[in-house]
Amino acid sequence: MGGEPGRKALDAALEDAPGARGRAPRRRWPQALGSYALTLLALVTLNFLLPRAMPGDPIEALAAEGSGGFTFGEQSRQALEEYYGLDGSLLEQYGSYLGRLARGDLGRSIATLAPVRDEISRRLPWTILLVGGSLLLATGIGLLTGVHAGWRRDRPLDRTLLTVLLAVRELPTFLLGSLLLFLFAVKLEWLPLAGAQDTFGSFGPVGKVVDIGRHLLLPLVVLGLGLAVGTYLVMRAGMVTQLGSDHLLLGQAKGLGQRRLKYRYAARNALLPVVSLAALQLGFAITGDVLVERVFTYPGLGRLLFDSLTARDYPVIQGVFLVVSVTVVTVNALADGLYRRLDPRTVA
Amino acid sequence: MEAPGQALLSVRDLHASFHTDAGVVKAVDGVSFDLRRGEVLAVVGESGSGKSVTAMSLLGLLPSPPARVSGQVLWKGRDLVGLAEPEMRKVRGAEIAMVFQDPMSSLNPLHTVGRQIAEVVRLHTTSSKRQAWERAIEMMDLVGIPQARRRAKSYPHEFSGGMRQRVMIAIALACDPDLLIADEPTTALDVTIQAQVLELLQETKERTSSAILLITHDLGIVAGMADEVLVMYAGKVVERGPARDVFYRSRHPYTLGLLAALPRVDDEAADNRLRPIEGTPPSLIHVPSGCSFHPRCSFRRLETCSVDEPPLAAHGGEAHRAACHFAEDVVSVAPADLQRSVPSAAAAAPGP
Repeated sequence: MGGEPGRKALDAALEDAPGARGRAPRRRWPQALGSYALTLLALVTLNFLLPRAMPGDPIEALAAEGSGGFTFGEQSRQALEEYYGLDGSLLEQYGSYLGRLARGDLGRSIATLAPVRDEISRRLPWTILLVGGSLLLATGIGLLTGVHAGWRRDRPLDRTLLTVLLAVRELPTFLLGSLLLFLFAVKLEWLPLAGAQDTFGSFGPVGKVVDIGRHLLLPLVVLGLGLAVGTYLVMRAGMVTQLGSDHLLLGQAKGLGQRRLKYRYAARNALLPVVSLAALQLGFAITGDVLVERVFTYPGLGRLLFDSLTARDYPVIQGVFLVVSVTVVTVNALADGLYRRLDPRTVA
Repeated sequence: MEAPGQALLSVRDLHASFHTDAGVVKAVDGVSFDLRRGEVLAVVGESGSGKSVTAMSLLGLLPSPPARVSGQVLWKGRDLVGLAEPEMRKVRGAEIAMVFQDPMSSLNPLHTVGRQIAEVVRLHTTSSKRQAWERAIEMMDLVGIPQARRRAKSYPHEFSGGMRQRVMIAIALACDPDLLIADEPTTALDVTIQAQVLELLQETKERTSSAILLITHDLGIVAGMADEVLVMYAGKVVERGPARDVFYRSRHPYTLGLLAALPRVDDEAADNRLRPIEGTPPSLIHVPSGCSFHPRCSFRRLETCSVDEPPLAAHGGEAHRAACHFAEDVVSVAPADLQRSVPSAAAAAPGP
């Protein structure tokens, strides 16, 4: 056996061992910022190129939308291109786009001539309400169901949830949306059919909130349910993995109660992948938002994006893409930070 | 508190089985033993012999279903089998504490080690948060973690394996338990660290007059620490007795086989080869008839051993018991003899 001197020597050695010497330094700020800036530049470039890669262009779309059979002559077309700043080479256009962007100018819509900034800021609150709300709803439902189902794996509750939620996920958004609309708005007439608020009603502050809530409910549920399934599956899988873990067994041997083991031990550990997922979910949520806003005629960014895509309205498409990509990058950065706070192992 | 002279822990006819799709796995099949204060009882056997399941069923830690536990676990005169969960929780960690095999995964990775020690103190005593934290630091100091006050705020991943095992022992000892169950406490550790962890356990026992149930497959550890030894095979106790008797006057072929499988450094055995026990442990769903060890035994006589199950009978004194029909033949053989006689009966005999 080692004996006292051996132990002392070992202790000294352990103190000097790398892993034992407290935490490694954090990743430096400039480095992190630099990588995010690079990501953003790549996104801006893609946002500029993608709309232009679609067949057709805004001028053609204008013509199609206007009086039937009206066609441009070569000269008027050139004049229009010049007017909308579409006349230069791709590189020139890109340069001037970056230049204006640097000054905070998003340009004007080709279809409506309104400043893109106004078009976006008018609709952004509705989308924040819808997407943000459904992400919260999805995370809430997903966590709750995932924790309980995973903890009672293979019991009736778990089996039921698994079947029902997987079935919900397989329903296309527009189908689920139309079904709910038909049921609650057309048949039962409990909820409004379209829009975000009642334009003609005059409400007090409380009435206004209720009105907005009633309009929000169905789109929120349709968008949220689909997202909740992802969170639920990841959380459930995490809990199931935790069930057999050694630290849970030690917790049990310490005499800890079920509640503490379930939440402080199992759920807390299973939560980590959900944080990463939540940031990814934002991307899915925005995709879903475009569809849901179509179905419910909701006046948010999704509708704006859909309309501007149809009109090949480059400045608006770029503007919406920009807002979306900046948001996604920011949220991912936040999730990164949150993850670091939640898991001490990622700090080193 | 138990009456004077009475055992701290009395296990009587303990059974633990798992109901699986393939059949009923009898992991522990009628195990009995006593453990007194200040005593170290070692339970030895191969993987799957039922030693860990025995330990887990003492504290009601087996998941049920699929596990079913019956028999008696008398702890200070009270039967722990079938005890209500809230009552059981007061015993766990406070009166009976457990140290597990793998220090790398047994600590919660998201809590500081100090918090994990303080947690059990807060749970079982009336101490304040601050007192519990001080107790955690005291315990870390006690188990030989340098700079305990600073290291209490570190997370498990910032510790080496040996240091983590010390943390786990600190958790186990934090509430001054009367019994410490150590389930392969050194298996995952380097040999040098192993010795230190064992020494720590030994010191603890001497300081607190608690009892230790040491579960291991390592006979070297047993020789250094145990007062009593329980040898398990296929869920049953095949030999038990004072450590010296079991080691030097083994009366069960399985014990003898375990000893012969040990490397020896002394010159006598220098040119002898290690002798693994032939065959593999039996399936616990279809346990062999008669003596469950007979298919692997070099002393067997089929007409007896495959039919009659030998009782755990006393040999050479009440304390030393072995479950073998031919215990008297076995006792005359030394492990070194087995190592020397290479073509053994079992190797020559046709397989089961």
